[in-house]
Amino acid sequence: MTPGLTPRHKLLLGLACAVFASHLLVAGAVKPCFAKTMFGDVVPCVLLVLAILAARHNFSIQRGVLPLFWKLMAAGFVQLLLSEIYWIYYDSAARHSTPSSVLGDVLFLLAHVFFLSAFLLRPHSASAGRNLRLRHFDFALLTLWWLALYAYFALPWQMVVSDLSRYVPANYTLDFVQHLVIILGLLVVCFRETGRWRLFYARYVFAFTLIAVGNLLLNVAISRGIYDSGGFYDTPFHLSLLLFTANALFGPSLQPREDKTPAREIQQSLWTARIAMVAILTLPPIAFLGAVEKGIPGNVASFRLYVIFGALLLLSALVFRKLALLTRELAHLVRLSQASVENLKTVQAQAVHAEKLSALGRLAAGATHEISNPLTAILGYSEILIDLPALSPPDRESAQNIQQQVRRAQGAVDSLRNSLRNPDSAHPIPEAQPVDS
Amino acid sequence: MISGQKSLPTTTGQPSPVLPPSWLGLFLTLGAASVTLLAALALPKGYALAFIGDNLQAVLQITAGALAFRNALRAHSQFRLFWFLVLLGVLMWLVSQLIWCTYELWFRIPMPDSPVGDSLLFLKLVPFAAAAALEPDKTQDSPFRAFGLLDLAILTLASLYLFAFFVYAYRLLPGGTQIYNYHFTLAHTIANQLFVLVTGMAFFRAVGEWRGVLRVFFFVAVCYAIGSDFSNAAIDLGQYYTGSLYDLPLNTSMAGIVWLCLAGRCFSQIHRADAPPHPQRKPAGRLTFVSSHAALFVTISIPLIGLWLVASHSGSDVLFSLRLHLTLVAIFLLTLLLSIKQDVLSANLLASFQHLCSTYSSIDRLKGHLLQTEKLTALGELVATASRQISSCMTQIQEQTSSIISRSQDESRCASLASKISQYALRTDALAESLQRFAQETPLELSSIEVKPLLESALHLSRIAKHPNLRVDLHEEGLVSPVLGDSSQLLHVFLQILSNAADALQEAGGGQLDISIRACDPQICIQFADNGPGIKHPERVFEPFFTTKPIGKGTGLGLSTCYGIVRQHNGDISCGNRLEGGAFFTIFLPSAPSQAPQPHEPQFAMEHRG
Repeated sequence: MTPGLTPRHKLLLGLACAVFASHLLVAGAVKPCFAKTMFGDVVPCVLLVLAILAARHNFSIQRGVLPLFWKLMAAGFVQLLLSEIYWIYYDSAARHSTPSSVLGDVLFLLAHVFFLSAFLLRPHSASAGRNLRLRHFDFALLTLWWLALYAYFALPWQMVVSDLSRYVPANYTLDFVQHLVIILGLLVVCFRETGRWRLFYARYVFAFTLIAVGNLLLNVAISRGIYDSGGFYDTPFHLSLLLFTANALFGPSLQPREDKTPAREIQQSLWTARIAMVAILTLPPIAFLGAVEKGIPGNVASFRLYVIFGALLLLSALVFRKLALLTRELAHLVRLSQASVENLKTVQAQAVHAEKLSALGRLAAGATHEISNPLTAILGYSEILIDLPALSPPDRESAQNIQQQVRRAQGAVDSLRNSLRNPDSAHPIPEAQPVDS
Repeated sequence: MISGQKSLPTTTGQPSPVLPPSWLGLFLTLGAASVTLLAALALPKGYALAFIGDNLQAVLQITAGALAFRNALRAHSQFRLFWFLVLLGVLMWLVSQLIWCTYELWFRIPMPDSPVGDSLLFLKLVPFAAAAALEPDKTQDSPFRAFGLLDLAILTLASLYLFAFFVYAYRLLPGGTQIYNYHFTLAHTIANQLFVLVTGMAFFRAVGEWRGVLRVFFFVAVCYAIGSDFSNAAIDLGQYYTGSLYDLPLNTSMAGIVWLCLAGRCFSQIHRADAPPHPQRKPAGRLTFVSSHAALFVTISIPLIGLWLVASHSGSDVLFSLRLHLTLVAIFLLTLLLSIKQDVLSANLLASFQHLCSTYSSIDRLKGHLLQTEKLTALGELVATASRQISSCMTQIQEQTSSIISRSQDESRCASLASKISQYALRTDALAESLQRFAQETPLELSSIEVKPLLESALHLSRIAKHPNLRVDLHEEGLVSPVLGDSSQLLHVFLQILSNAADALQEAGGGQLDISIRACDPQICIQFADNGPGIKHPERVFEPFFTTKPIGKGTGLGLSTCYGIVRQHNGDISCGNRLEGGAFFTIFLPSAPSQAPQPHEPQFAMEHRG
């Protein structure tokens, strides 16, 4: 299972395992106290730093979209790390006051958006990563949309009215949906792929299931008041971080493959764009439902409307930019393909001409043989004619003339035959002009 | 003052009408204006004046609608769309006019404030403005045309939304009629200015004959804007009555639409689908991009309106919730339209990307192929030179032999030798000449050709009969008329098929090739049938680069070239496998018209002597 791990990789893996083991030790042995909470907060930070270092190693792989994939994963790890650092601050500040958990939650949410984007790249496909420029827009659209949902459903209960009994379920539901989407998507890919890629995705499925389960456990524990920061409730999350590190370390051994269906990538990009547009389309109905919903304080309702209209403004600005780019690209491509069709026509004409000439070559080779036979006959007859004793002087002269002409013709046939045998002296035809792209 | 008529074209090939339609339109417009003026000055306010005014307007609009409909039916593509948009605008106007007439002339009461009439009156400007912005005289790639329609839908929807949001919403307020009227007038004025702006832009950007038509349109827009602004102000002041002087610019603009339809009539006749494109058609210009950007800006601005709405939420709750819902629905619909547009765009983009890729790979393959054959290019010249030389030698030999024959007695040994030499020279000459013709690159020279001699010379040149284990049988069934074709090109086709058959038969170790020529009116059918191994992929044989020969032997272009040549002759070539084994190629060629003078000596006919 560990083919060709470099010493450096082994060191990272060993460190991660050691940190995880120390977590287990502390969770089992130490009674709940502030130091244990702090240790419980630091462990994921260390694990995440190790995961980032492991992913950093894969940036230089020049295969398909793999560098981009690992960059996105690393960005997700960084978000998680920031959110964990925020929790350190939260836990230490919680002794004096009650800070808001918004920033940590947003970072946690965003980290998963990065992971989802990374998987949407389909790193296992060799043809992935075409027309990425336009897909960036779709990723941005989806991210913005997801944040808007958070801002719509969860945020008002922290920002406008402080009501944790409404905030926590909303936040948890969003997290849960996000995890579900990632796990289901990964499961589909996992069943479609084979070999190392299947193993790769299976480990991620396991890791994200652990995160989701850990999150559930954590929320249940918090709501029951039995949560113990740094205890075994954190173990699933820490184990998943360990898995992330391990997966990143096996990264170099993965090779992208060709898709089974050739237009897969194109279909995928079309569908990403469609999903992004459908996501935007959901916002007005959500606002509609919100306007109908009873028991919402007025300031929360208007905050939500601000969120919806603000999000729609940003989203439509993105769509605007994307459509402008698409139009320009299309106009460019249409021009280009017209030019290349013209080019193809000329090249085709040249090819047909060349083909005709090659037919001519074959024909001429046969024809020289066919011509030289009667020429030999003429030469023979003219010799007999010259040898006739009764030939008058003008006739003899004519016969000699005939012989002369036959020899000339034979010379022409011979030279033709020679050049047919080695046609290297011929000149090349002008090459077709390539189309500028 | 208005002279849009002098640049208008007259349709060629038709007797020019007594009065050019554009002049007719001008006179009609002036006539309508003077009738309105006279009636307004001569008659006092009352039923008679209203009767004249309303009927004049209705008649003008019906005429305009009928003319626009006729133009739309006769025109094609973009011009058809233009006239349909004009027709739509006229119809909306007509409906609001008829509602007005019904109340005023039938019920004899002033028209109540009706949402339908007001909305139609306001919204008719949308199709008119869209028609002006359409630029039908510019060429456009078809995908972009679809986007134009989508943009139009977006702009229409947005203007509906704006009307509902800023004007119609006030009707719902209790006692809001005053505010509603004020906002209606305001919105109408803004819309009028935009209409004038769009037609003006279209007019200044247009060139050639279409510019003359758009000039009339611009005139209509200006008249309408003046008339509607003045009459709206008069209505608010209570001074307006039907048939008054306030109607003068309005009636002029209605007559102007009739003029527009008359002036643009020729554009509905010139452009038939089979007609060559209009020489002045140019690639679509900025207006299309302007409209597409306008559509996008509108889509962005609606969330802004929503933000403003939420921020300024202080007034009545009814108004607020109506506007909120309106905004949300508008955003939903507009986003839907934008999604469709994006989807169409991406699909088009990917399709043309794939097209481009396939073209590139074709070019690449062709180039690779050209590298192999390029050394043969100078060959044509070589063969032509050699065969010319041989031909000239043979001509001289024939001269010499004929002089020998003329000097000697008939039955002398000398004369018989000379005639033998002459025969051989003739044969060589024919061979050399066919080589030369083949080598020369000439365009398709159609003449009527006897098929059989051509086939015979092909057989001879291909030397297929010289193979010891190949038997060739050439027969003509019945009387076959000559075909219309280019002998050198057809010879190429025959040679290619013969060489293919010879290769196939030799692979099989020998066999029989039957060539039959028969007439199947109005074509001539030539069939090559062999008893060789047959063709593995008969459906792919004529594709370029398809070859079953080992690499380096066949290029795979030969039969596709044949296909091209035969199709160029309006003929057909097909192939398949015979039931009894072996392959067949069938060529259909059009027979030469019988009234054509019987052809000169077929170019490749050779006499087989000795």
